[in-house]
Amino acid sequence: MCLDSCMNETELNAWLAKEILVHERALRGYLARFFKNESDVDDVVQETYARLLGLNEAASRAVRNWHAFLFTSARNVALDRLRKSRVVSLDAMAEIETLNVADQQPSADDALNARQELALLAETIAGLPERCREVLTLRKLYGLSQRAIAERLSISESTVEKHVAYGVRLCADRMFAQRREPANSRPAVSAISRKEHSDER
Amino acid sequence: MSDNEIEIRASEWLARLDRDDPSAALLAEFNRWKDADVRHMAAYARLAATWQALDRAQALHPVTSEPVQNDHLIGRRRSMPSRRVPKGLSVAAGLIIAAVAVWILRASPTTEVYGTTKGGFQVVVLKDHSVVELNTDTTLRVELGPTMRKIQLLRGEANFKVAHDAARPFVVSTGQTAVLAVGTQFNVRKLDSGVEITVEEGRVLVGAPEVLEHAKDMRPLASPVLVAGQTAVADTGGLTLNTLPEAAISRRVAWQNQMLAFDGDRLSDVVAQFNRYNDRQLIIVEPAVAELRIGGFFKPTNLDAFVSILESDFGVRAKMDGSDRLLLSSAE
Repeated sequence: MCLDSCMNETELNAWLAKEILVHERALRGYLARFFKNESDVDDVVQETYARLLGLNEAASRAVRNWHAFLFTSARNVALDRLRKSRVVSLDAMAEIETLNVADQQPSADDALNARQELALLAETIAGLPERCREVLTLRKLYGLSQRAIAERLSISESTVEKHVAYGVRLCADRMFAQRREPANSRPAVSAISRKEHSDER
Repeated sequence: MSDNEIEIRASEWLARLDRDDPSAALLAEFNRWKDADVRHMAAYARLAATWQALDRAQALHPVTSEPVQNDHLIGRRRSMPSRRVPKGLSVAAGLIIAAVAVWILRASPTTEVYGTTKGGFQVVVLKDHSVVELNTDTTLRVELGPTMRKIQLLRGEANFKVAHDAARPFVVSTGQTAVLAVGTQFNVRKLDSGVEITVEEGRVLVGAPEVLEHAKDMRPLASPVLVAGQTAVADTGGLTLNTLPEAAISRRVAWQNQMLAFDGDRLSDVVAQFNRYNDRQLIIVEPAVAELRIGGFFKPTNLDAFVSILESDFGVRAKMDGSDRLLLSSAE
């Protein structure tokens, strides 16, 4: 895989969503052990993405496992940050030093099948505030331009723009940061084992 | 949500660049901002990836090839101007996607399969007291779960009188299309390509199975709504909606009385109906005969009676061709 330099923006975005952002929730869970404030976690995640996207071509080609790379980078960013902070939580330092990044394995839930992905999208859009939802649906499902949406909803174009800005942040949040288990995403294994169990009885 | 300053700025850039034709000056300004700090680029990339992923939501919505009548939509703002409505847009407008329930996996619900053969008819009362009538040559699978009543129409046609249970939506899926109701009466017929839905009572949502099978209730989804007296055909070309007079609706569901009802229908359409019920197939061999207009009530399995009426009253000649074909031509 080589980033920026050999992918166009559409490809890069698709790759990011599929290979990296799907792990964001787990990554945040990992980081939450060391940082009490959500905003610290936000900063570390952002800085981690920055390192990842800032890789030069040779370096990014060398990465074999993006999940491991993501967690290792996040750990390094977290360590830097803890060292620089005035009030160092020794516990946090100790824990981050001892916690083996290799233990962080991608969970089966991180990878969604197409149906689950659609269900997650539906849930995400459904959860938006009303006006925001309206604007995003018109923009994304119906492909109306911001201007056409403004006209249709009788609001100003700059209001539409604000809804888009707010909406995309909320969606990123719902889809990647605090992603809940989407509908019907229970691993099939558990359903099977339950069934076997009930058959035994 | 995070109140991260860079993220907020990135979202503002994304929204601004999403407007029509950003100017060169604006793009230059954006690039300056993006290149000023690698975190800017990263925050922007994350949101751009999200924004792009949202395009996939189009798959949630059946394409509407015909503008759907606004009046039949729930949750639509009355004040909304209806002029210059782009194709298919009217379905969404004020309503949009509602909550999709988290599927609770409890004891696996029991699945039952019901079916009829050609010419058959069966009435089934489900455990939830919904009544399902199966028309000729029909197979459906019923799965009554704790949060959802799921029916798959595998072939044929069925009429559903849904027992009201708002907590357990009733979803009938066939191929790429699903119908959701909580308590109403409607008819679903699987066509060669697509599905025909007719609503007799109340209202139903029509949408993709992916969405409706996870819906929690009748809160408006980004799905077209059909109300009593409407019929829709959903196929690969989209959704075509029609409003029918009451008499036409009752004719369409006359099969529940094991009768076929026609009112000036073309013989070719009438023949197609009879052929659904009988192994012996009627074949029109003369185009002019196909245009004959037929009215009245017929028992679909009594083919001989129908053919003798054609012969005595409509100037049609019927000729056996092998054991299972009857060729219809003009008597002259």
